Amino acid sequence: MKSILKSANKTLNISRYPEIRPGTKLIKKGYVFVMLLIVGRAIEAAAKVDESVKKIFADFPDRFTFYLGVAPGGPYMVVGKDRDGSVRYHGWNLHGKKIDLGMKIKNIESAIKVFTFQESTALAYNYDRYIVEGSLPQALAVVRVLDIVEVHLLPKVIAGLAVKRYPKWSELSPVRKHLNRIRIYLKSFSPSLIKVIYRNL
Amino acid sequence: MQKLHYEFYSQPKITSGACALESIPTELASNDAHKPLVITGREHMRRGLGKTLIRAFADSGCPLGGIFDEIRDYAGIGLARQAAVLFAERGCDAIIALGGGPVADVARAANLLVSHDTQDLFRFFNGTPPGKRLKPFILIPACCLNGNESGKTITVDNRRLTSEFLYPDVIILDKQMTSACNPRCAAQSALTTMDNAVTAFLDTEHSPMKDAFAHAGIGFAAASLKKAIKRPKNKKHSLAMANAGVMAGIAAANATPGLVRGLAEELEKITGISRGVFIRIFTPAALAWMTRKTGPPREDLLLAAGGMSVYANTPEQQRPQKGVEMLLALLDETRGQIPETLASLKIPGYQLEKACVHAGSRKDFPFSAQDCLEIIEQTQKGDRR
Repeated sequence: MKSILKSANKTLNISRYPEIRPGTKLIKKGYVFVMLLIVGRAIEAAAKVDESVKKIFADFPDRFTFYLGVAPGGPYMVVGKDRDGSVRYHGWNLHGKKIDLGMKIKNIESAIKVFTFQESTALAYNYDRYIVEGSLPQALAVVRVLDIVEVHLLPKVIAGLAVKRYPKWSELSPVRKHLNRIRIYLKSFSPSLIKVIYRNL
Repeated sequence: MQKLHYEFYSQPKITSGACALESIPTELASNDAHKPLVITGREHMRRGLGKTLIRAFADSGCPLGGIFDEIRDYAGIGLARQAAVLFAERGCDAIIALGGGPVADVARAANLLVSHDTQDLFRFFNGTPPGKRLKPFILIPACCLNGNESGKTITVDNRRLTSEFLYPDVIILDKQMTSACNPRCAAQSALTTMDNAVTAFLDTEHSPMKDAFAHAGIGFAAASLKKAIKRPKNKKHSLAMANAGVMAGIAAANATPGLVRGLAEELEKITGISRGVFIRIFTPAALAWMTRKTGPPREDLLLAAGGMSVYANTPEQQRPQKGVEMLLALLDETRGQIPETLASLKIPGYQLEKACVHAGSRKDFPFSAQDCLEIIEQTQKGDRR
């Protein structure tokens, strides 16, 4: 650039074109943060309650840890399998954790589309909204877990928008679904949530 | 018969649809760039497109080196130099062009200067080819397009430069940006798009890749042209037309310039009247001339312009003619927005002749000055009728 700077046009008033530092979308970030917190806790609960989630996590290697978040600066949700095979939500802090699989949504607007259920997770993958660092089969297994959790957490009208295919009665009976929903909500918002929040602060 | 020996070059990654604008920081990071300089026009800033772009960078951790918004309707070397100085002063590492036509030309000219660390742009126009990859360049088409933005040709101070290094690296098509400012602008962009697509489609050296881009371009334009001109602010149709423009531009960049394109570009240079106007005026005569000289166009033109049902319902022998008719009907959709006769433009005869001579002497142009004059005569005859 030396040659260009040497010839710098004296008539160009550079201060007319200030450097711009874009701001932040705090409300949207806050919303995604809360959603990730709820989903993270719900995954932990669903791994104890739902057989299919339990089976998916059983197929993951021991001490497998993954995160789902928004690029570049978060928020994140870290979930991992303990040594004893139980699934734990580790909070939103990536520091000091050995991550096997990273799933980042490219930007906050895309994250809002996913977490306001305007787009299902599968559709968001199709639209190239995710960056996956790690094994793709494991990422797809995590997407299946997310779909199951969303079916349990959300009413059918909303969950229908959020998942690729809503399970039929033969696959998930309404009684079991509602029973699991209650158990997942109770486990998600149990007092241990305060412990997780405290650990991450 | 399948054509298996061909060459087709297309560098840009095209991102279209919702949140395309917000994906720019990720695209910059994947090109190892973190501080872009935005080059745009006053009109685009006035319409608030600059603010929309800044909002799209929120939470990205990616500062903008500045917004150089001095471009109006002419791409000059002075502007490219000023943008290059701003780029160097601010330590930028990528260029974003927000707009079409002169904005994209100035941005690419500035990229040539900063990438080669030189202040002499004319050495490239005088025969020295750009010798290395340029800095990452992202194009965001907005408002009026001249059809060359997605290709490999720039026009600065009325001089043309073609190089494969001039292709954008990423093209962002976002509905927040693509709506046209008025029906005339939408009509001009649509006409250049149609001309690019048809030029690529009817090129004698056709290839499957070129056909694919041109076919999709014509298809998008045929579906949305009428509505995009009637309601230029309609986001869906303007995005479809921008898609068509980009596809047709890439296809045309890989094709030999057509008769209308070459003549219209030279006339635009001489008279300052938009290329789209000449496309509207010369295309009927040029299509008739091409049919006389080289035979009827390929029947696929009907498939692209009319869709499968029209194509299937038309007898095989009538398809080429019907394809031309559908194409002319599409051009007619611009009626009321664009002058329809050469006489109404009041261009002196010597300027028309000069344009024909210039076009005929172009190295990349396969037609002679005499061919161009014939088209002008045919058009004038048609006007009188």
